[in-house]
Amino acid sequence: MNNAFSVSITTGDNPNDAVIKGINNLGGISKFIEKDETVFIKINLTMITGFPSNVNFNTLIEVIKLCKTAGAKKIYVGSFPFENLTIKDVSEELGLKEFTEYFGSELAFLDNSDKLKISKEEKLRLQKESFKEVEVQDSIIKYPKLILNVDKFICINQVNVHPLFDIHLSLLNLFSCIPFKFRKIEHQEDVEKDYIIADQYKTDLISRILDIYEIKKSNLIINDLFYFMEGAGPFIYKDSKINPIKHIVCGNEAIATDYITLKILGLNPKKNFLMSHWIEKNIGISNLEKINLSGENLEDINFTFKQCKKRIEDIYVQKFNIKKGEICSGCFLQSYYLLNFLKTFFLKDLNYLPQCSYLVGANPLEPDSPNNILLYGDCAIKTTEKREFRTIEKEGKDIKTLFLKKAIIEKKNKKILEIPGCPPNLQDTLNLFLRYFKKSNLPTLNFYMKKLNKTQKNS
Amino acid sequence: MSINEIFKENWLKILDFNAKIGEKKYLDKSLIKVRIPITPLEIDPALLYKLVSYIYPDFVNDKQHVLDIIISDDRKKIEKSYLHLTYKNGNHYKVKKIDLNNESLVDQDFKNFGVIFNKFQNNLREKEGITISGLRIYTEKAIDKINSLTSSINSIDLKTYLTNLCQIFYNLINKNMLYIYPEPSFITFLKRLVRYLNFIDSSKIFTSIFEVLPEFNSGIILAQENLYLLILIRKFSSNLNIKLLDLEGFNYDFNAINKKTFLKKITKKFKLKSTYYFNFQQLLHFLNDLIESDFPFEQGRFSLLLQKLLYAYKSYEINWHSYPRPIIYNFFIKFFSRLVGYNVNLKKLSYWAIPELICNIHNSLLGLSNKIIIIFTNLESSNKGKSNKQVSNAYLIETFNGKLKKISLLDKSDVISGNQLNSLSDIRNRLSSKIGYISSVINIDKSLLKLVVQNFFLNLNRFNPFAKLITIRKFQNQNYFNIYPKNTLVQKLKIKNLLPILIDKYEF
Repeated sequence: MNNAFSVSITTGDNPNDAVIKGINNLGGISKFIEKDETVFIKINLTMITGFPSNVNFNTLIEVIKLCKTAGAKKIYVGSFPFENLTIKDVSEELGLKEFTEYFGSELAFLDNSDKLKISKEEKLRLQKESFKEVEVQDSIIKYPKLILNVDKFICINQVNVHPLFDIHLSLLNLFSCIPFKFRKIEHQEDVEKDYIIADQYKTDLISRILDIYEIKKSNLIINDLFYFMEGAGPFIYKDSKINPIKHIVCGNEAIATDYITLKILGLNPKKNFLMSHWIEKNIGISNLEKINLSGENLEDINFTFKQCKKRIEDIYVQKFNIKKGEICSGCFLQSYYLLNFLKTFFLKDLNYLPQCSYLVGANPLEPDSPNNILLYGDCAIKTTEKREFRTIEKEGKDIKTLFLKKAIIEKKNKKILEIPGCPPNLQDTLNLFLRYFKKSNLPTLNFYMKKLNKTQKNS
Repeated sequence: MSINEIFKENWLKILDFNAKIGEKKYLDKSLIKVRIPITPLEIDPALLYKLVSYIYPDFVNDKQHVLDIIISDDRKKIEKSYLHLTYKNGNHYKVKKIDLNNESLVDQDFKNFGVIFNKFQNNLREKEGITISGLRIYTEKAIDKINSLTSSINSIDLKTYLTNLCQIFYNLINKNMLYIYPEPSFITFLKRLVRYLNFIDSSKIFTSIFEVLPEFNSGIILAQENLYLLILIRKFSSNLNIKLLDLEGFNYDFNAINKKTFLKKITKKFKLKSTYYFNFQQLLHFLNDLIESDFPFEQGRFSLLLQKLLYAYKSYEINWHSYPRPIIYNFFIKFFSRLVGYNVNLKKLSYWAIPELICNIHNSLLGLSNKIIIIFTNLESSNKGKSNKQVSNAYLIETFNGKLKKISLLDKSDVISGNQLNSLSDIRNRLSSKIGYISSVINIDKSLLKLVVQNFFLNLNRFNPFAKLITIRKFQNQNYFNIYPKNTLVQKLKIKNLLPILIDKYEF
């Protein structure tokens, strides 16, 4: 890595103005895009939700326009969504295909979800054709050929708060260049204590994020802080709020751009897990401290913002008594999504539920009562196998006296819901909730899951 | 510049009546009829007196005496000034012309009304020995506008009057022709409302609402201790009639626990289709909560107000009554609908959960910062063909952090080409490049809105499942309702699936 890192901090009346200024400060769009080149614009495209869960489309429009003025031959826009959602699901609900076409670009269906009614074999063949196996750091990653083959790669990252990495940096955005199933860090073997204590999940996740970043480096990075989501994120939850910071950070390198973005938000880049890992792996921070900065003066910018809840027991969900054990980042992250999702959309359902003990992590605390114990994740399930609450004592007829006398009998506690997975998947968890608590007790969740399952079935 | 004779004559009648009440003189109420000031609505002055005593303290102020000043349009000269004296708040008994010509006004005064108010207060205390509680300043143009509204008040129909009133109020606010100090909370609320509607002509909004209302002939009783006001409202073709009556003269048993007989008598006597009974005090409380709220509402405040409204709606036969009784409260209908899987027990409406769910779904689906376009079409006035939808109005609604930011009227040329409504996707994409990203475009036909009002809000006493079913089905007909981008949560919405979310599960 040389010292040609250039980052620009700009502000404006609207995101369009700020992004134009930012790119101009870096030498103008023609410095990045040449005539007849193909361009891929990587955006945030996470869910069937509005802004700022997804990219700010006003910024996207402006970047597409700039690429066209530079003479780009073809402009693709795309990303892989969250969990089981397909690009087609998100595109149809947000009208993205027509939208991108109108502005002279093309939505890239990287998952081939636009191909209707094709056989399983055909699907596999298409997947093989669309992805290339790339070897990085002793592992093989399937990466979309389309992104690998384009001439120029631009990343527009909507910056929101993030429960694990403080903020959603462009490195995280680039991570969704591959499908969700390839992004998942799953621990197949029995959970060892070291795995949790060393938080191996996070280490593995960071390594994979940095591997993806290395595969295809972006030519232009835009960290969009014009409207910054704080409180709860990176998806829209009950406690999410937009803070109009009105700044955009553009750079020619992802790490350098993220480094400045963290500084703008008053965070120490050396304490950020992603950044510190990168610094450790590479030559150190010295190069990052020599970034060519243009635009606004970094020292003059000072923002404070409301971070996400960093401890699972701080997320208040009605009827859920959270009993945490030794927890790794995997279960923390998925629990964070689950609990926030429940408190955002299922107020009525939660009111119908009985008091539950939500046990998460290895060796979690004792539940308040033997009723309605939710064991979240493989660690919680396996480390509580011999706990007292697994059995309940009931008065019944004693088998030893040929059922003539009454005795206290030990029975398996059936009021336990085991949610397997390392970490468990959100959609599967919600389906398990429906089965355990009964559909009639979860009217909103039942309605939501029906719609979600239908959307996925259709695509 | 002086106020017109029609207004003046009516006003003097009211003052005369109030003065006699204040002096406890005997009154033969049946001999007098007055109009509510600046409206064509006739009312018994005693009823007006009572109404003002209830409304004025909460919505205007609870003190005495008001000073009215007419100033020149350049806001430099005081033309005329009148002092309205009161025994009881809001009920003036005497108007006195006073001379304030030696007082002068400068532009600076209009930036701080407290200063002008104190100046006049001191002047009146010295000259008249009176302390005023409020000051109203009208420009000559404002008087012109009020005169134009009141001059034809005896001959004008109510719909035209209300349209004109909206127009004049809009002008008074928009063009700084009227100043009130201290500003009553309802004026502050209306001002903010007009500002956030981005100065859309309020008469246009009134006309749009009027068009959507189906024909009806109903009575509304607002009851409170010592006040039984009956409002007769009738809408037929394009006319609207409103009459206000004091029920105290009719010898009804107001305290009867069962309001059915009482409401039945009223319905028959006045040949109405339906009669509704509300507690006036509770209604005033709600209105007070509404106007005391800072507009646009924070999402928490909006949730609270909606919760109160839904709670009142669900409290049928507690907080409100009606005759005929809505069919949905009939035991057999409830039982039968539950048997076929529709639990429509409105008394169990989940008032506590619905508002927050609406807010969170709005934030999540449309985003924390969003722009949506709502296009109202009118198939009735076009040839009912898909290709020739007549566009009534198109609005752009902007929200930020779940709070309304702005509502503005779009130019029709933005949504139609030639005479045809463009495809919603085209409207969305074109306007996104012009005014910023549009999250959603919704097209609703007015005839559908009319059907919704008719079948779900007005004709509650008829068992007509087919009419209701047809109305719901029309939401799936793109001629009547269309949304882009398609939304699986909204489209193909089944009432059966939705009811468990809207209605509480437990009966007790």
